[in-house]
Amino acid sequence: MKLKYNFVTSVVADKTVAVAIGNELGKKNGIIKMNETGAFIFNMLKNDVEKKAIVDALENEYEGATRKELEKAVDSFLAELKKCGVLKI
Amino acid sequence: MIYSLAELKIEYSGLFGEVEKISTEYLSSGEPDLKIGINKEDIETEREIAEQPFPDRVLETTAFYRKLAEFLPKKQAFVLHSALFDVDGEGVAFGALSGTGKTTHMLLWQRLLGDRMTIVNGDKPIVRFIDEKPIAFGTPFRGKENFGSNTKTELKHICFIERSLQNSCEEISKEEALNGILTQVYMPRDVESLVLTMELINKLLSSCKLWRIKCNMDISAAETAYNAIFKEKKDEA
Repeated sequence: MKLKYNFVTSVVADKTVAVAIGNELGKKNGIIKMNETGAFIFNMLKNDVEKKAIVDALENEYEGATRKELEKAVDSFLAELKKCGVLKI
Repeated sequence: MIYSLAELKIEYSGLFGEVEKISTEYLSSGEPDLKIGINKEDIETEREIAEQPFPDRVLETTAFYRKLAEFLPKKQAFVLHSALFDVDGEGVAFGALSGTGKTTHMLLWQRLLGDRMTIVNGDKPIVRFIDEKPIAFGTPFRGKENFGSNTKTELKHICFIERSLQNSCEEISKEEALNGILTQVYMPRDVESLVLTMELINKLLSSCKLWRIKCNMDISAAETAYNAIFKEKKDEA
């Protein structure tokens, strides 16, 4: 899976904000706010990637969190992106 | 024709003379910072974007403003969709989704403050960072009510307006203001300008006091908000 559109990501008011580039901007949900973990996952989704690879990468990045917790975080964030209609499965 | 907008020189050549008609008080001279030309293709693009049918002469003005808005971030500036005015030398912007009543609330402030208040622009002012300060400028693009003048003020307060039966006004954090500001600032299609815009938004949120105003349509709504926002100033006096 990967993002359907190209986004510019910036940190504004301590949040990562992703804004869809160009003509996609007019579409609903062209602006997405996320926390640090969300930004990490979002960044990986710029390329075609499987859920398992995202969880593996998070496991390396965030010590102390269990695999189950990370899977839950990934599921929840992917569900948000699906709701926004920006994810290509 | 050369116009001075937000202290930038803009050379313009259009199709129907509509921009020229509304911009007479911004006429200027000198070397342009940007040259804008509008052709039939630009008009068609605007027609596709517009949410309702507009005559070509109106689409010419939106095409002009869009081209300008795409360029502005390269000069530390952006279009802030808001009703913006000056009170005793301090700029106040009311942001809200269209139809929420930002103009109505601004007019209540005018009733309350009289000559102490000057409307800079009722719909689409330009904010430009000059010497690290956000300066808000009047523009010819004043919305359907046509409120505004060729003037400027340092933007000190950004207020997000919500309708409510009960009046209140509270200071909010940058994070709380983020949703509101992201919908009020013009987001360029040009990638370089978009990246610069995000930096400018970040800077703006750190440069201004941020407020949430809940208001009805009574003059007491303006009193509540004014008293909260200008309390410190009143205490100093």
